[in-house]
Amino acid sequence: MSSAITERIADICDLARLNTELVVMARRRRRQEAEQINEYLLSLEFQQRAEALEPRVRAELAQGRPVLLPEIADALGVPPDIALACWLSQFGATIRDVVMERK
Amino acid sequence: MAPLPSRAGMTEIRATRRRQARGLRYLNVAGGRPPGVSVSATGWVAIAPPLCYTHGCTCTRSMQPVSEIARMRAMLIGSVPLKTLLALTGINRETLKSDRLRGYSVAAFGAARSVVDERCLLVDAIAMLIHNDLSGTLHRRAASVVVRGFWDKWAEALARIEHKNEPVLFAIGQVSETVWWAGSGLARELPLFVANQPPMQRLLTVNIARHKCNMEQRAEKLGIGLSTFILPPDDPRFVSWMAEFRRDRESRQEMFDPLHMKPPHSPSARLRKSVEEAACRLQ
Repeated sequence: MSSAITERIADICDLARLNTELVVMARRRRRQEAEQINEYLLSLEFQQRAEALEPRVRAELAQGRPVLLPEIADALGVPPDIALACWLSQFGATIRDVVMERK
Repeated sequence: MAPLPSRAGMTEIRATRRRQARGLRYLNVAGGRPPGVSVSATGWVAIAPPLCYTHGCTCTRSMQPVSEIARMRAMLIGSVPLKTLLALTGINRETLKSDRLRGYSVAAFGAARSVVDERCLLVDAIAMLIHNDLSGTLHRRAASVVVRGFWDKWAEALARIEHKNEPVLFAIGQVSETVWWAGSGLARELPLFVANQPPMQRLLTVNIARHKCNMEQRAEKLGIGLSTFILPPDDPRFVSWMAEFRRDRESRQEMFDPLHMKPPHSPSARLRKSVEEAACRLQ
């Protein structure tokens, strides 16, 4: 019983940790880097990578499985916070649907 | 004329007067003893003197209910032998041995190790787990300095998780090469706090609730019933422990010399006695 309550608290804390981690990433980014990312998001290469990745991510989200954010970010060629905010969010994914590492 | 009390009766009267002089009130709980309250052979149990929690004095205004005071007195923090502690945390004995040899070991109360290996506190285990967690990013020595130096911060987080069911995180951040901060607070408020700070070089957060949860699950598998890890954050004993630690840390900071680093002091005799009274052996 006590363990179940603690586990729930731990899950809330994990979510806040992830959120904080993404905020820190965004805060560290310089203006120049942000502009480069903006340009890349409009490029053909990004579109191709996104199209290749979309079916897999949609399937995972439909099954209710959390998506491994660093892996997605790597496949798209953008930082994890950008991958969530600018791409994953269009499929209705929120911070609750992503993880930074598999347990 | 009332008959004189017998020799045994006189002894009891003297004992009662001594107890009254010490400011202790005694409550007969022979009929309905609350769970966890130890009762002496005579059926009496000592409870704290009436204490006003609003004004911090002994006035009778806004007194805590007697049952509440008895509950706080009765709350005991768990202690286990080192062997059990290692089983509960999943920490390797060799790792602990190596940490102790190098002076990187940690324990509760800002100490380097528990006073007696046969009676390690459950909160010592949390110190070790935080140390391990931080060591993923920091050097083990730096992690041990953080765990010892900010015992008050993470202990408060643990107390709030355990007794208030609040999702609290312990975090340390590196602002510049030489400036760090450490603190604990509600998990949901951390992202906003970080967003309002200048960009940080490093930010490490420790999910103490996860460590506690893992320990509870291991204890369940081992068939050990864990008691309280730490006293509630509003318990007068907890408040006094933290106050003593902060005073000690401030006095040390004034005399800090990075070229002549000294190992941390062991808790004072008064503090050890207080912890001893508040601890109970689980196995």
